[in-house]
Amino acid sequence: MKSEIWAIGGGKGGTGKSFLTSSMGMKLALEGKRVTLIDGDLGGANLHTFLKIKKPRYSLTDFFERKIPLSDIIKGTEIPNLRFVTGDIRSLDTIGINYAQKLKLYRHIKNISADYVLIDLGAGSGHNTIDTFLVAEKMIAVTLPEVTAIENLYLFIKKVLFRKLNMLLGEHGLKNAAKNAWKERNTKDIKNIRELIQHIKDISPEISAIVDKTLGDFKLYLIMNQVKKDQHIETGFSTKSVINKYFGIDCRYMGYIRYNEFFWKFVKQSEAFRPITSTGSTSQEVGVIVQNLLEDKQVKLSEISNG
Amino acid sequence: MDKETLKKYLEILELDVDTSGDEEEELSLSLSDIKEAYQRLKALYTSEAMSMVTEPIEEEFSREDQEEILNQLEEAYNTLLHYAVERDRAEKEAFKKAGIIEDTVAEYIPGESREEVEEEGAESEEMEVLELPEVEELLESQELIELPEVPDIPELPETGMVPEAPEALGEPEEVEGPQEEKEAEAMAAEDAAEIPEAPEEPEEPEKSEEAEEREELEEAEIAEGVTPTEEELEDKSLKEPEPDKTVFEEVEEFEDRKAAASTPDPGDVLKESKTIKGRTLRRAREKLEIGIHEMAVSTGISYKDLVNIEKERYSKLPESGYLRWLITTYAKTLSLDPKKAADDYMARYRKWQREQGSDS
Repeated sequence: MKSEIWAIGGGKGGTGKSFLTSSMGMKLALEGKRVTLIDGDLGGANLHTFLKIKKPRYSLTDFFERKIPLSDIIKGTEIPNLRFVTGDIRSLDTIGINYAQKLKLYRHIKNISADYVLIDLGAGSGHNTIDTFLVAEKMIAVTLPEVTAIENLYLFIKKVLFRKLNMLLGEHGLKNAAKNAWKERNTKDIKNIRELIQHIKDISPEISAIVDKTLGDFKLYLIMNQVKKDQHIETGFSTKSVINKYFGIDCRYMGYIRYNEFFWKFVKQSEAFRPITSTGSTSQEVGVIVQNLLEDKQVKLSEISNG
Repeated sequence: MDKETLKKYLEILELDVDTSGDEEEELSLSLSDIKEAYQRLKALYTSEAMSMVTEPIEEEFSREDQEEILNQLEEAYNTLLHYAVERDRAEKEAFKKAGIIEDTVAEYIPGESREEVEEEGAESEEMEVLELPEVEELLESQELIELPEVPDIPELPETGMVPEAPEALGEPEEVEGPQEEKEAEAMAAEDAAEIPEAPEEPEEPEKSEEAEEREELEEAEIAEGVTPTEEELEDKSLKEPEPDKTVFEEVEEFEDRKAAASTPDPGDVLKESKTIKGRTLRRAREKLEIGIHEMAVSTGISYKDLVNIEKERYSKLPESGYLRWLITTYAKTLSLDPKKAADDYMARYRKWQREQGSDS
């Protein structure tokens, strides 16, 4: 049975992707689902910190450099049904893998025997990160209610869409249409990605229809982390709205996590699973997010304003 | 208007309405719901709320784009409003024909009411007032069918979502040194001994109103001199006056006595019945290496109150309404079940209060 791949990204570092990946994975596993976590993070994979596991012997580096199969690199955790693959010290971007190796990785990932595969992409929005994001069935972006984080999120989405468009046009024999248009944007008076998309759609009605459909079907799941007040929760709705309007995609607001002043104390002190098994609000909020993702159900503004 | 179109607008206004019935079946959707939803969403998408989000792409995301979002909302609102008003009007007609409404209704002119309502729509508070009292009654009774959102429901996610899990100190205490083990056993034993008290307090103190009602009943019974419960008899041993001791010390002695008398608890029962005490809170805090001052800064609770809560110095604690909030906040910060913490603590506090009352 095929697994469902969830990729957790969003561009900016420190937004809580690793935490969310590990805690969502734990929640799913505790509900009896078979979960494999993959750490693709930059600068010293973090997932094992949240899982309270010492860095395993093999990592993705060994997959690429020593051709060790992924199945040998996947390691169990204390939670039955929860396994994980640690990343490299260098991210997927600087690791210098070529296209063929990347495809091989994706093939192996798709063949992982699990119900859910959660990939922590970490920070960065280089080609390899973006491509891995696009492999997922559920593309999840985590951001903070903060201008710089949202700015980075937009940048991330722009790059993802640009890449997606290139791939799409490539399938229709127009491999370099988008790239060239962007290169010549000054002469063609293309100021931003919206105008680029319009330019591509102008190529022909068929292309226009294809682009519209692809964007309309493009689902991005948004999570707001480190929320400190109700207004921040609402920022999720605004962000979703603007993304939908501006990029023409289907962005869905799946939940939020409140800022917890003592969060790192919990991580440091407790057993790996405390943040998830406790009755605290963080644990509940992750639970709500997981449930929403499983049911494809968004947060409702009415749930919050009545507070 | 077909259901697909309606569904689209319902989604825009985030209205949760069952659209699964026949194409012909009317949707149960009240005018006030529509109005509320529209106002709420409109408030969100005004320029101030959006600024954090539009600033990074200010040059590229125009005013027009923002307005388009608002226009879509307005369109949804007007469409659904029109639908609901028409539906109500048709229903009235039907009732009239069936003879359910008296003749005086004949004076009622459908066209007028619809315009009035649509005009007032965005501003007025009482959109469901459709002139005539008889009709109002009918609509009100319909509202009763449509509206009820049982107030308790929002509470459920607090306790229902996450599976029952080991409490904050269940495991760590087992791992600590011998002294801690003894205390852990004492606590466990005490919890076991406390179970028979359950009949006095509600089995599942989820509704504090119920709990309070029962307590009032108990107080009444005690006042009338009804046969004291086992629990009260035990209480008497606590009440034996030793003016030098603080409540905290008395409680400790009580616990030690219980520990000597009882056997350790099976794990499951411990999970369910474990009481959250002042020192439970303190231990949880210390386990996380959070100092009292840090706690004070984070929660906004004064240093003094925190100390008194942890030591269960009831006489020094503020009034019960505020106290409950303090306990809840404290527990929440440490990821302990805030409801259970507050219920447990307030139960003990009230017991102490009653004792104070009957002493004087």
